[in-house]
Order: sequence, then structure tokens, then C-alpha cells
Amino acid sequence: MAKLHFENIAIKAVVTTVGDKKITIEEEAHNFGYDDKMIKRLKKRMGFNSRYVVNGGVCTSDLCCQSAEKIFEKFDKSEVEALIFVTQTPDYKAPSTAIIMQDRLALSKDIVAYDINLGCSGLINGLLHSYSLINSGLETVLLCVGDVASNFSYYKDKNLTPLMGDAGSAILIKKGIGLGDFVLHSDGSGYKHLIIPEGGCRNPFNKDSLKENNFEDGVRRGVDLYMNGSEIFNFTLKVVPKMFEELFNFANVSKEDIDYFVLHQANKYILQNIAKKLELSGEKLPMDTMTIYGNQNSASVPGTINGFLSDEFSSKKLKVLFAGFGIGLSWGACLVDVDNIFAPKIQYYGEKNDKK
Amino acid sequence: MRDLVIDAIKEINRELDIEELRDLQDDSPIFELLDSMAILDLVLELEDKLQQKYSRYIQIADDKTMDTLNTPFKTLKTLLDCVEGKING
Repeated sequence: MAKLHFENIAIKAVVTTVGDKKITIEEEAHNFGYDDKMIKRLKKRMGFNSRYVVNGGVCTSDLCCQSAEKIFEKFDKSEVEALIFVTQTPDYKAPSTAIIMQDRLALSKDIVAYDINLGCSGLINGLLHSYSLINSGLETVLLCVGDVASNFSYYKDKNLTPLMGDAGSAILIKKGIGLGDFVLHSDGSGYKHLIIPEGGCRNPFNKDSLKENNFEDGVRRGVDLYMNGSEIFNFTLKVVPKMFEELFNFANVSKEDIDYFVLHQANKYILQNIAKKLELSGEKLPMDTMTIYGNQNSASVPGTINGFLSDEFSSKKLKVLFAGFGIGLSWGACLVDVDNIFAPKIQYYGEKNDKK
Repeated sequence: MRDLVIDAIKEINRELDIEELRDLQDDSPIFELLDSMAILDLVLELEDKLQQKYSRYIQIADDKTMDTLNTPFKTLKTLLDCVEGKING
């Protein structure tokens, strides 16, 4: 287990932009062969309701750039010394999208910029990189996280697609007053449980990569994301509660010291389970992001802040726990201080103003 | 406790309407008749009922729940053993 402690580093701003197209489960039920009874079950038990996605052609970097521009309405972009972009949906296979974003956002050419390929644990890993760079001497880092999941989940995959939302967040981290404690894990033995099997070097794109294949849990192609839901469920229940104990012990805190638990919003049952186990109210552990916006991958923690905790983060000094877990398999959590940060409500792609 | 578990199964079966789940015996299969969402349904139903009865949260799901080979949801008997273990554990 990697355990890291940082001092004098603070998150100053969190902004999330989601796709501008809202799809309800009723609207797309026909793609998955769901009848009214099934829709009712999905809504009741899994928390399915709606999700926000982009229209074709919009990339994660577009969502993140809109989020970053919102931050630069309040903060001086010339102070940014590093840009880290965590995504599984870069603009191109090469070069790193972060470098292209340096130019799009008109940041200094003297910055360091690079991509990290991670999904649900991406926010924690991205924050770890950001804190490490500041700990090594930089003053200001812009972290962008997110995915256009509609790019890799096939519209007929009933196992995955109704879960997924598109979102891109920008987070500004600066030298300042605040602590940060991190625990992180990786277990590559489970890589096949969440995978896009084709299109990389191991299984290159081929003539059959776009061919539809019928599986019990839906229809997908070789270039689409596959999730073994049962294995991921088992994995999450196994590692997440244990990870919290590790973090509490490492940071020498108890759950009562923590104002909010903002977790990756993968599955309502998992979140309910953790809340019950830790005896936390739904207020302390928000769990409605997936129901309204969809699973936003690495942007689901910032998406939850902007979607449900905007007022609290904007007006209070808080100790908060962030956690992410999923593809890799990879999981991590961190405990950070925030103090009256810039955290406006969710932005919608292409819109300048907040929308209710 | 047996009644509680059977009630939970019957409750989720009100929507599913699976014939084999109407008259349950110890060796009645459960896991093979349910999809993963129905298993989750049953977990939630059991946890709700146990919380009402024992006034505390008893977690039924663990890393074996969805394990095809080792799931405690294989038959009514294995599920009863599991629930009893969770209550006492």
C-alpha cells in the first residue's frame, strides 16, 4: 500500500462540466430490451433515472477546458505551472491531450503537461501527482479529470451504458494551508474485469472490431468497454471499507472528524452499504450523482461536489474524504482540507451560466 | 429467521414471478434463478428485514455474494447458514 502525507497544499477550486444532452432511462429502454417492469426495478434498486452525455464529436478535453475557463474567471491562469489530464478518452492516441490543452487554454509554454490513463480512481491519483509536484517546488497545478464514457460504452450494452455519464472537471491546487493524506492500491490481476479489449497494441483494431457480439448481459463490440459487474461488485465490497480503515489509521483520524465522504459514484447499493457500515447519514455521504448525471468515472467525485455540495464547499472550512475505485483494478482514497473554495454548481457543456 | 429469509425471497419474487421460488425447500436453488440485479434486490430486502428485526445493520453482501462457485445464495439452505452466520458474526 502506498501511503503519502503532504502539508501546506490546498485545493482552491473545483468545477465540473457535464454533457448537455439529458437521457432518461425510459427514453433509451428500447435499446436494452427493457419493459416497464424492468425500468421500475432499475429505478428502485439501482438508482437509474437519467444521465447527461455529449453530442457526437465532443471530447473530454472540451468539457475540461470549459471547466478550466470557469476557474480562470476567478484565478490567474499565468500562475499555472503544471497541467495533468486524467482520462481514458484522450483526443488522440498521441500526443498527450494535456499538451494540446496547454495551447487551447493559453497557458504558459513553461508548464509541465501530461496525461494519466485512469478511470474511477483517477481523481485520487491525479491529486496525488498534483500534491507531489507542489511538494517538489511548484506553486500551482491544474488537474483535469473525466471521460466521455459514451465514447466507449456501446449504446446496446445494457450492463454498462445506462450507468454512464459524460463529465470533465478542473481542479486548481496551490501551495497553501492544508493537509493531504493518501492511500493507494493497484491489482493488475483483475484487469480483465473492466477492459476495452481491442484497439491497443495487445489486440490491435481489426476488421471485426466493430462487429456486434451478443452476450447475456448485452450487445457490444471489441472496441467497447466490458464490465464484469459481479467481479467489480465483489472487488468493491472487499477493498473499499478496508481502505477507509487504512486511511483513518494513517491520518490518525476517526470518521467523526470528517465532514463529508465524497466517493466515486458507481453504484447506489455500494454507497448505501458503506454509509450503513460507517453509520453515516446520506448528507455526509452523498449518493445521488449516478441517479441524475450518470457514473462520471474520474469526474464523479468533483461532479458530486459541484452537483450536491457546492454551497458547503464554497462557504465552509471542511475536512473531506475522497475515494475512487475501479478499472485497473485500482483504488485509492485521500483526506484533504478545503476552506471556502470556488465550487460553483454543475456547468452544462456549451452554456455559460449555471442551469438548474 | 427461516421465515424472514423466505419472506424476503417471496417479496422480490412478487415482481419476478419465478415459479421455482414459490415453494421453497432447503435444496431449492436461488442463485441460478436470479440475475445479478435480483440478487442485489434480495440482499437489500434481507438487510432491511434484518435491520427491522435486530435494530442494527447486518451486512449480507460480501466478496462471495456474486461468486458463481462460492456464493452463499446457491440454495435456501446455504443462504440460511450465511444469514445466521452474519447475525452471529
